[in-house]
Amino acid sequence: MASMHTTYTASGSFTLTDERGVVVFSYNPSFTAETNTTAHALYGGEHLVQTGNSQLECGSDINVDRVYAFLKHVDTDYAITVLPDSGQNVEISHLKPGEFFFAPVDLNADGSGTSLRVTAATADQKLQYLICDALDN
Amino acid sequence: MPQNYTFSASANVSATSTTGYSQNASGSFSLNITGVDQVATGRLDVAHDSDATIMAAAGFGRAVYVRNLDDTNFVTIYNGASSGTDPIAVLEPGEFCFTVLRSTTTTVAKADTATVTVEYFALEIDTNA
Repeated sequence: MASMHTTYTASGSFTLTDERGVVVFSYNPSFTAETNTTAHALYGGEHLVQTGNSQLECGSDINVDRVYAFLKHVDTDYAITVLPDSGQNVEISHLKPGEFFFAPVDLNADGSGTSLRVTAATADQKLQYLICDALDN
Repeated sequence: MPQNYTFSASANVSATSTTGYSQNASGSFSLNITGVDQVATGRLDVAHDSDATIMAAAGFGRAVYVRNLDDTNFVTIYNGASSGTDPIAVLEPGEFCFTVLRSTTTTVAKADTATVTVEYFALEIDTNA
């Protein structure tokens, strides 16, 4: 039986500067995840997010308890909200144009979810994404 | 305290299969923020049997970063109390998350089986950011 092994790396840089030019904080985190020898999916793309909910469907064969999700708003007008589609309707990100979200996400907090639900305000908006199976916690 | 800030964020991620197939993504943006009342940052011990507050309810929203500094146990980050909401992230040791939330809820963390230490910031943002 074939298997799929994936490696995942992430890095970031976050800096806050006040009106006097003082750096309040600066963080530069990075990690390389342990190789996932039971991965099922690694995919990315661009999606035109609808105003009436769109699904970034990950499928039930991935580890719905934890996926690495990177989402970036690449349009110019209206915000996009991001929720795990697990029925609790609590947003985990609210992205204006240009902003991004990154997290290892539990799609399945209440036992029913296999996707990320994304919704554009007012008019459809473009979103780019990269989603990869993560090792379970 | 100064109330006007510039926040800059960037990130790069890469996923690679042993077949050689690989995908990368990156992003960067900055926010000019005025009228900020809350900037929380540092390190925090997060218990496994109660919620640790990353930031109390903000007036409009916040940008949040959390990194798990523990060697063994994972920690879960929530938009609202852990008992009633979907998690934002489940962080294994060394992992981090970043999100922007435009809601007035509290952001909390809860560990799994033992107390873990996290590195974090939570930055209140205004309606224009």
